[in-house]
Amino acid sequence: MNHSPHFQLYSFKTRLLTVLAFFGICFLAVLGRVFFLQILKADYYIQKAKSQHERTVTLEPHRGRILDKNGRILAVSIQLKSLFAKPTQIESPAQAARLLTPILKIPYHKLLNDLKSKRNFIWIKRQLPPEQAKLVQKLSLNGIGFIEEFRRFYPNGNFAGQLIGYAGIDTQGLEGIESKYEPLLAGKPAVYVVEKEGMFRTVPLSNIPKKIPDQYSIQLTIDSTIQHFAEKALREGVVKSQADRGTVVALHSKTGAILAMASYPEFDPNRYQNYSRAHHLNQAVTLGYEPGSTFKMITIAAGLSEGLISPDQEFFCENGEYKIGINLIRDSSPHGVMTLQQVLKKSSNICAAKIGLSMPPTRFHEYIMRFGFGRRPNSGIAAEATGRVISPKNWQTIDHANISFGQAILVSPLQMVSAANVFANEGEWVPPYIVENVIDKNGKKLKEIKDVEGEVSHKFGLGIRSPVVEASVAELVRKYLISVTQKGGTAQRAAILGYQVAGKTGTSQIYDQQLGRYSKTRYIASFVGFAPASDPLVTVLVVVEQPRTSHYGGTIAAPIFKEIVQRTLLFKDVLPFPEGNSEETTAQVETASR
Amino acid sequence: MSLSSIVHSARRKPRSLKHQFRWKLVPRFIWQSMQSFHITLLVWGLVTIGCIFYLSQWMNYRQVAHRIDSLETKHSKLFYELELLEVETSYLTRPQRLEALAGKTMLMASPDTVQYQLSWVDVSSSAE
Repeated sequence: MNHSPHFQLYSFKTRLLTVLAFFGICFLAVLGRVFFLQILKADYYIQKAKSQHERTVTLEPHRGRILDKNGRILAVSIQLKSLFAKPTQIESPAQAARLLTPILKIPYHKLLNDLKSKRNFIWIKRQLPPEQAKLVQKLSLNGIGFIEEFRRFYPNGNFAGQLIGYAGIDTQGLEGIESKYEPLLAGKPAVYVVEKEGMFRTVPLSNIPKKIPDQYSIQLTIDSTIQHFAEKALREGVVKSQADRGTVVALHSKTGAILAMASYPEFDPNRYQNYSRAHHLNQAVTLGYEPGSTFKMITIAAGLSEGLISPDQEFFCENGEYKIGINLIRDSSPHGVMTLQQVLKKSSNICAAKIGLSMPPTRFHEYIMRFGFGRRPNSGIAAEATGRVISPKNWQTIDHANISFGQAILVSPLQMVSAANVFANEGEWVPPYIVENVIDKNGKKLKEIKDVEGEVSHKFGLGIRSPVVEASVAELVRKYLISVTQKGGTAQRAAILGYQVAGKTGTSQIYDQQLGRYSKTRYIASFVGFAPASDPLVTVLVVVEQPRTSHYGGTIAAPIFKEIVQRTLLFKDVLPFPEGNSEETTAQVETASR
Repeated sequence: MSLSSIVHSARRKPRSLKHQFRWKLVPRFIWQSMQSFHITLLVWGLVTIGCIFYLSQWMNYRQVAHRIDSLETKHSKLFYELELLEVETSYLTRPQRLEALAGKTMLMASPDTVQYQLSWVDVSSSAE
């Protein structure tokens, strides 16, 4: 055995300690590294490890539907495929472009340029129609894939377009009901974690949220069939009278539910980008117009209610011209002495002004406010206008007189139809409403939604009625309104064979901002009424702006009213009575009010 | 060493500490147990069976979870297809289209009050 002197310098113990020290240092080094990795950089490596085998999936909420009264779909989010490309993975861009061009209808050179780009990801076409997506899928091209996205779709096109509004490309509500009820329709995105496996499978680690809370479908009070009657009649009426635009609002007389709300020119929310901003607006609630003679019913009701005028009182209508200060008020045709009924039937501005002037401004203003003018109706429709009612403190005598026959006051169509509906409801103002109920994810219909604290945050359906005038006064005005559509009245064209119709025409001049006075050529023709007068089912307002063939409400708006109401009554099984018998049976009306 | 003697040694209690568990005997018990081939075999057999059972349950869970996941995907696809059909139904049965079709293909016009008047007059006159 070779025992060299050098080797013997170190004892066994020394060598053992050396080896132990070496291993000890190695161990400490490993321990240090472990401490670094496990303690100091723990979070970083945990995340890194998770990212290799876990994936967070975000479930975008499926936006709620908008339905009509009968559950017909008015707006829905449908899942469509969006086509993308990863140009770096495409083997032959030219071949891919050649195959895709005829399907997608995208110019070949544009598509080829996109596919040849050096980017990692490009959209080729978003939200493809299903048949196009199927054809592209069949091609099985490398580097080309789909991402599923939701798109808001309005199956009826321009049907109630302004009322429903529209949602943007990312399905966020931008206008109308879509915007007003955005928090309820949109819901909240849900997140869950999946584990990535071999064979490209995923296994959920956390529970998939099946029910996303706080998301609802909205059921409107709109009846698609009545809406169709309104839209069709309005379209034909506006085209025939060569008017600029028009609007119709139909209420269920007893409940105030909005059965139809149409505006012309129409607006298709599927192609909202193609329309100007003015087309987006729902004129029925945003338009402020001077109601003209339709307002006389308010003046007369207020006068009767105050006891300042009586039904058998006679009024002198100044033979067509009446001077207030330096201002001259005219009637469309000269009248002498008239009864109260005749004032409404013949639509005398002078006598209406006299009735209005008989009331103190504050009292008259109070009645105007009670009828719902000068405040939002809170019907649940977006962008409601308040209108404009001058404070009685600022009323000049001419303002007072003008307001009495519906000038110098701005109202919205919805306000006007609600005010007229008072006479169909024994003198009570019935708040109009558009949302019948909301439907949760389980299909349960809800009339109210509570917040986290258990307090009601949203309420739908019937509102609280408020008394405006006494029932006897309303009944009297209703009789006068019936006479308006009868022989000698201004609205004979609104009369419907077999039914009693109550209503009032309105013809108001449009105020010309440039001239600083009322225009002599531009008018708003309107008609508001309800039928059957004995037990009203539907209250309808028609407003036509700037008609050119005539400017009278009785000529332009009344026939539109007649068309809508006649079709609605027949649709609702309220049958007409033979000529000479103008009363409807209660049973028929009860059937209709379903 | 037999099993009964091991158990007996573990159960043996000193007179002074009757109700006290003797932790110090635990390693001895394990060690002595490991001396026995049969016991070791039994223990490892049980451990192996347990592991296999756990593994099979885990695999089964993953299979079921994956199946649920794929079924839910299928369900949502079918749901959207159904929704698309509902939309088509809504589109095809919209009142304006039905009215146009009724007029064009069946020559049907919308009802008029005059129709009711006539039929009612007829009935009343025949009754008289």
